[in-house]
Amino acid sequence: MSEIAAERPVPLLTDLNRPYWTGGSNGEWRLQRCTDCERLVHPPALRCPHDHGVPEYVALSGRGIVETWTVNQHQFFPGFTPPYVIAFVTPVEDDRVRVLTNLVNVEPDDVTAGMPVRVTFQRCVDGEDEVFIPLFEPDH
Amino acid sequence: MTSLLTDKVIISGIGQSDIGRRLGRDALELTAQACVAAVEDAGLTLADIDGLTTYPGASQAGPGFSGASLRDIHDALGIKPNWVAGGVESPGQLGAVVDAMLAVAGGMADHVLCWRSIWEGTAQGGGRRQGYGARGGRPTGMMAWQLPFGATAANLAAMQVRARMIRYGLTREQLASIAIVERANARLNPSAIYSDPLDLESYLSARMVSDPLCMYDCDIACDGATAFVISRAEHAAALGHPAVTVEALDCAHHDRFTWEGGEDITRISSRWSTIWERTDYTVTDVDYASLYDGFSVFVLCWLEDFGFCKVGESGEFIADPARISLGGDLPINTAGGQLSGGRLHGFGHLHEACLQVRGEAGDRQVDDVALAAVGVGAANSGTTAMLLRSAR
Repeated sequence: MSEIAAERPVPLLTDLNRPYWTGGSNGEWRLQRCTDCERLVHPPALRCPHDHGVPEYVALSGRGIVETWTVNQHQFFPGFTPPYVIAFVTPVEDDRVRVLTNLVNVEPDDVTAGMPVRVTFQRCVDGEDEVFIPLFEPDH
Repeated sequence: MTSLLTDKVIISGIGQSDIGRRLGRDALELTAQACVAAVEDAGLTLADIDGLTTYPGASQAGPGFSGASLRDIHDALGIKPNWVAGGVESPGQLGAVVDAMLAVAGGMADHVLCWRSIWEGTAQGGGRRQGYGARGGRPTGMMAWQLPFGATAANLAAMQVRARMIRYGLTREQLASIAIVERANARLNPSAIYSDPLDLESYLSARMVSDPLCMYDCDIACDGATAFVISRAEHAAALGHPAVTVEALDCAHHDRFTWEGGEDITRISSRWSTIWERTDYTVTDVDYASLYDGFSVFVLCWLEDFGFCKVGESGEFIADPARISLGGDLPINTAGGQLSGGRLHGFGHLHEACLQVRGEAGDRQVDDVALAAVGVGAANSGTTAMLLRSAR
């Protein structure tokens, strides 16, 4: 894996967000899906923002497309060395929801709109918490 | 059809501190300078102030993000308020002004002092600008979805620019008009941070912060405070200048308070505004607009959401910078905006709109401003849209 950051800030885990950050331990990219309207929901919530149905986590295929991206050139954070690619990726299961991520194993100039990508995980540990940060790479 | 506030509540006083890139002065003293100036402009004394509001109040968001909390000013100036409100969870920065107007209209106070103080220039020091959250710790809330990816607001704005390029055909040459026009305006504002000329060639060759967003698309951290006094309309007769009132006001926010939670990544939460349903004026009546420009692309969103052009057509709308320049159809951000005037965080936009309505903008005065539009806030922070005019 191309290294953007050897270590990453580990989000404070809550009941609501834990499945997103830990699903990678089973190789699963999980998002919430509303049990009423079946739209995906992200970031996770207690009620669907569209119809207030109750969302439940589901494992997705891990495949998506690049909605938009940027090549960061400025060192905003210690440990993240520019240039690196930040993107919004939409899962193939529902293109009305998006996740913020990094694109890895790709040259910044090779990124295109609508590019197919697949999930890959970077394991990070903070104290007793082990998380698997969902990143994306080209899906050839 | 007007707001219940219209001609009942006025912006009776405006004030600003010294403004600079890094003044190295005490943030509380700068804040007090703006507050006292606004109180004097309103023809009042500190003893007359019976309400206080501020944004963001005490804040840990980043170094200098809040120059002085509500309690700091309450103590420092010896105010005896009957009502106070300070905080960050509001419809954008101008939520504090809305709170003040509602408090006066609701009879909680007669003269509310309202300010936004920022001290990021000095607090951030001489190094390059860092992202909010760069000081470490386990990220929570909205930041929990950004910091694991080394993402800050500039990156999100850059992705909004890219999405507009993909969907609407926006070009960097079009986007450049915002920075170029604001720089030209800043040259007429003695308080502005940057006054060197800026042309298209310099813009296109500038350092990229987050491609396709360059350094001229980002606001500039500064030190400075802006304050207002909001009063009952009866006080207008005591003023030595026109009283400004709010013709209409809208604070709708139907997106989630995260960038990815917005329904449309090319837009910001101002898209939900219903301001034209709240007035008999129409968009063609606007003579001047202050549009939030923490990043240049937000101006495009506000132009569309106020209805100055159709959604997706703002790039073409500003392709000729003359249209939004002094002397053009719709002059914007005549103080230089935040790109050249400094990151006064929305309160500078309202201050300039008040000057324009009062006819006191000096060399950068727009002719006969009967109606001014103010749009402040961005994607994930909440927004407030206002229409201002002289009180009757």
